[in-house]
Amino acid sequence: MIQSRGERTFFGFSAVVMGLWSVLAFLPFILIVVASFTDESALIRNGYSFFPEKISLDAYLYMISSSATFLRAYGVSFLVTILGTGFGLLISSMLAYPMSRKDFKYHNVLAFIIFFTMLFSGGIVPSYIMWTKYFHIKDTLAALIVPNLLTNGFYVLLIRNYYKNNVPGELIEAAQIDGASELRTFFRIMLPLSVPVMATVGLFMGLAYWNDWINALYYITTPKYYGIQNMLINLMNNIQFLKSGQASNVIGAGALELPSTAIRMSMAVIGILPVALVLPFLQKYLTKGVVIGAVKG
Amino acid sequence: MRTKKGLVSLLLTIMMLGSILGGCGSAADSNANSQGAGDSTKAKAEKIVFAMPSFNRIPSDIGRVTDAINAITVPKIGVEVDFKIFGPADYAQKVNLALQSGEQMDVFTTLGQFTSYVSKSQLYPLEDLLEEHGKELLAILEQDFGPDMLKSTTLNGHIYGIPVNKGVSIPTNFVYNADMLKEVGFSADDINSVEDLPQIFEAVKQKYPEVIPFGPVNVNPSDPGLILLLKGMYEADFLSDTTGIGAVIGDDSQVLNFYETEEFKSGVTMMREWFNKGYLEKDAATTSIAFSDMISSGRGFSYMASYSGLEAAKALSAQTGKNLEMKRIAPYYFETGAVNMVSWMVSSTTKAPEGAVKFLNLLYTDEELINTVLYGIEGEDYVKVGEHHVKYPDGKDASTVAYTAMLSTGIVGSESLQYQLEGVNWSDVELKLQENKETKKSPFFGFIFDPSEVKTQMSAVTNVVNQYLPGLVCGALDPETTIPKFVQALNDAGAEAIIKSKQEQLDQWIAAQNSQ
Amino acid sequence: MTTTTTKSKGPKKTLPLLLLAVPGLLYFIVNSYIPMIGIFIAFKDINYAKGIFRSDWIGFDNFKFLFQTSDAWVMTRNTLLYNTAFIVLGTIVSIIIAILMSELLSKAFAKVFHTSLVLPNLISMVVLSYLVFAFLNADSGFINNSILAPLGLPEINWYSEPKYWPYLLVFIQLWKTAGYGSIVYIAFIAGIDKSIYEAAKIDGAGKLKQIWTITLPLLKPTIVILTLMSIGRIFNSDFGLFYQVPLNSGALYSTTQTIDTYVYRALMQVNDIGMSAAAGLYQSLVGFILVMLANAIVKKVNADNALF
Repeated sequence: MIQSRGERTFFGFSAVVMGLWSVLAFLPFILIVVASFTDESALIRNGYSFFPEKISLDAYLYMISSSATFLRAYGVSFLVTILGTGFGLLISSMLAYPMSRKDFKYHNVLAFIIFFTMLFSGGIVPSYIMWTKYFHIKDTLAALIVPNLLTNGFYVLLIRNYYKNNVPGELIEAAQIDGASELRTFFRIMLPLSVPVMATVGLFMGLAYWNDWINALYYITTPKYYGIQNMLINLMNNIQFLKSGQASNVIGAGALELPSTAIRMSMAVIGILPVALVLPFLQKYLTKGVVIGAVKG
Repeated sequence: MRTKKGLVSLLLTIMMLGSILGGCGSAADSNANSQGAGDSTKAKAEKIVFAMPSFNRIPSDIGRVTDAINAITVPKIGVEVDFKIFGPADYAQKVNLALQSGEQMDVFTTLGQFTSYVSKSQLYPLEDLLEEHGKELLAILEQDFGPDMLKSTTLNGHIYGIPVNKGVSIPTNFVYNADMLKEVGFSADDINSVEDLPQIFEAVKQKYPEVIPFGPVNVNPSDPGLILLLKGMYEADFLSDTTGIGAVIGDDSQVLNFYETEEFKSGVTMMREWFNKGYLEKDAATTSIAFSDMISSGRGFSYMASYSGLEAAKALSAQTGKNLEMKRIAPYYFETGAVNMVSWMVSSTTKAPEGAVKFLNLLYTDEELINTVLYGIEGEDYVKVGEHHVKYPDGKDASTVAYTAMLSTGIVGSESLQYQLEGVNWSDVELKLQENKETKKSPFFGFIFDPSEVKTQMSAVTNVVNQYLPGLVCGALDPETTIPKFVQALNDAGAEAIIKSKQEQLDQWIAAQNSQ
Repeated sequence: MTTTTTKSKGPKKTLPLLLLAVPGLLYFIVNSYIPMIGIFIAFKDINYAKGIFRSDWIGFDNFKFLFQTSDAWVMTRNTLLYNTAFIVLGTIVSIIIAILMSELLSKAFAKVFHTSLVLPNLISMVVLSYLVFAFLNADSGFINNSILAPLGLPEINWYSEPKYWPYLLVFIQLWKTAGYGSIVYIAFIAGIDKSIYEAAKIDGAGKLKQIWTITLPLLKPTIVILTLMSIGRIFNSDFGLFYQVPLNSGALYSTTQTIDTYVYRALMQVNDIGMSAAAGLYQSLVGFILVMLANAIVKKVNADNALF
């Protein structure tokens, strides 16, 4: 493809700006990684530094020793993220499709019903009663997947908007004239043509699942089902409590020397790293350009 | 017509799907039931849920320990215990959700929220059941604390909780790096009250310019221990909450705004001087680094905090890796909130109040039960090394042993019956119990304020206290100009209504006490 | 023409579409609508001896704490102004990033750039507050020590000077969320039919003109929808940003207090679910009214772009 001078200039400009943005985004993360390997005392004496005076693995060693269930927690998080995202994408897009169809009688009613849930909520107590008493999800894997996270109004309306604006209506009409059922139109035309938005919403959902610790706080009472975030948060809260002046009144003797700042940083690394490693592989789906012109013609 | 048909089919689908989901649910339910049936074949025991906070690592499976507990409780009192452990951050949330949703939650505790549970009627009155099933419990409280312990959890003649039976007297101590103190030419004998401290700070500052002489023991919000120091020094009673709005000083039953008193002003003026002389960090009021971390990194010298007994510095030294010592600089003063801070309670919705009280009775008096809850199973989780002492099995420590809740020793049962880890002097436990009896009690000890009339004002005032207090107690704000603003903001938020309501309730309480 | 389309809209057409919607719709009913019964808690004086349902009705008493405070005006103003700034600046920055990123799509290093969009969003506010403190703290902070001091400028006590925080918080928010927000726009730009650009190129339109006449107009529905959804949450705020990042510093309340931080601080002692429900309902209602208004306006201009 031949590029004009103007295009090359624009391309260069884009690369420079995005390069700067990347530096701004990566540097703090690198600082966190370095801090997690810095000796606690050095960290407090000299503050954060890209070139620490003394390196230490204490934070990681402490976390591994105090948690036999580390791998298990990673496993729980992965499983929950994959199941939740897969199932969530399916029901969100199935719901978004009719809403995108202007010839569907209830498209606006549905949109309102969905949007309304983004604003009003009855609080945790009624949700808790319902999920635990009527659906019995307490201390099951479903408790980590189903409440609140499976889909939300934002995702559904975003997908609807993509279907509405980026997939030409003629395609659907053409398919239906050929006698395709709605189900078939949805799976054969809508889904394949909406890879970028599915990838986007999938990314958002996946991150929401990966970072969630609230559902376990409410619905899980056995550490068996703790994901990585809950494990990290519990560890950190314990350390924080043990460090506070109040602790000595409540607890007995024998607390350990705990590298709290470095631990916090190493926890951030443990929580973020898997995501940071997966992200580059997602990129091609997010930006998978679609050439519809050919189909249309 | 068509619309109707559409709606009908929608409803039908919803019902169908609902029944499918419901089906899953009931399958899980019957599962749970059959498990329950299996358990109940053991004996016709009353079943209670007992939830305990633990600061140790919580193992995935505590069934082993639950069984060991039931091996004690079922034969002794015919109560089967469903034992639950939650971390300190989850604990209140999980217990409250269970209480609010009507789930079974019989025996639970709190870290400082006793009044809140009472005022929302979430607690079961225990006085009659204690008479019948709690004689041993009442006896051990009397023996370890003295006659009045349950006054701190009694409202209108009903006993709503049982404070943890341990050394609850926690005088303010000055904790310092002993090596540095020696280097600058002072000794522990030079420290007797808070007035002795500035000269030491000055010396430390001169000798170690890099070291920060003093810092807040708690961060976020920052608290240098000043309020507790003042309470002990001036015998101030905050009348069962922690806001400081509506306090009394000494024997005078006049309810005041503590932040308007001379006592408060003298305290924060002292901190301001320390701050201005550079004894504290400039960001002391907002720092996120706990001062114990500053000390272990060698950048900090001392802080003030409350500890029972005389041996806490041993553990602190182990924690920080520095040679720390501590010295008492103010006495402790028993107000209601100080004694009921950690209390065990029975929920008002319990179906097994008798079982709950029988269990509590055992939890405070049965050496075997207490130590099973704390240390797990002998031989597997701990080894006995003396009458009062235990250690972890060889090659294990607190984080690798299969079960321990050792850090909950200050939360469960009676300290006098608990095993201690190797190295702790038993005499310190005896001293703590001795001090329970010797610590001065407020004349209004036992008064519990019901804030429900002034909830709106309490919330607005809490926000104002959050805004000004950390800055004042860390010396970051100038008392001369800030206190008037602070007091004004408190009054705007409704402090007077709270004081008035407290005064009325206090007067009634005094009248009731006198008529008894 | 109209009659034929309405005829073809029979149940035959409606039912299959409705069936597709059912699982999602059911989820919203169960997860959101049934628990909404709980809204009544906002009007109750909760007493557990009577039970939640039988507690006394107290009208609007639970709402009073939001207004009976000298902070009422400050927190409302802050919440509104910050959100307005976030919506306007966030949208602009996100779109710029998205357009620039779309330019670099095919290149290998786009993967790096792409990761950089999400990375800031992964860092929790608590960890972020540590990093910000490392930059701003008065004694050993990077800005005071390594920037202001060498320049001979007086050092600044960042955590007690409210005037700097509007800029700091807006900057932090943009750093954390703008890249993340741009992902949506990138996806929608990727979804634009490439042949439209080819046609414009043949007509001699330059890059900027293509952006102005093709990309932006085609993004408009998305921009409108996202803005409408943000307006619905204009009375809410990110608790971490306004509480953790300024380290809960009392001196900064005049520019960092929002409705959410106030509610948190106020209810720490009282701990009343009726009052927190009231606060939530108040925030939702205001958002709801504003969205209905905004949506009506959008509908007047172009019904296709409206939310519903």
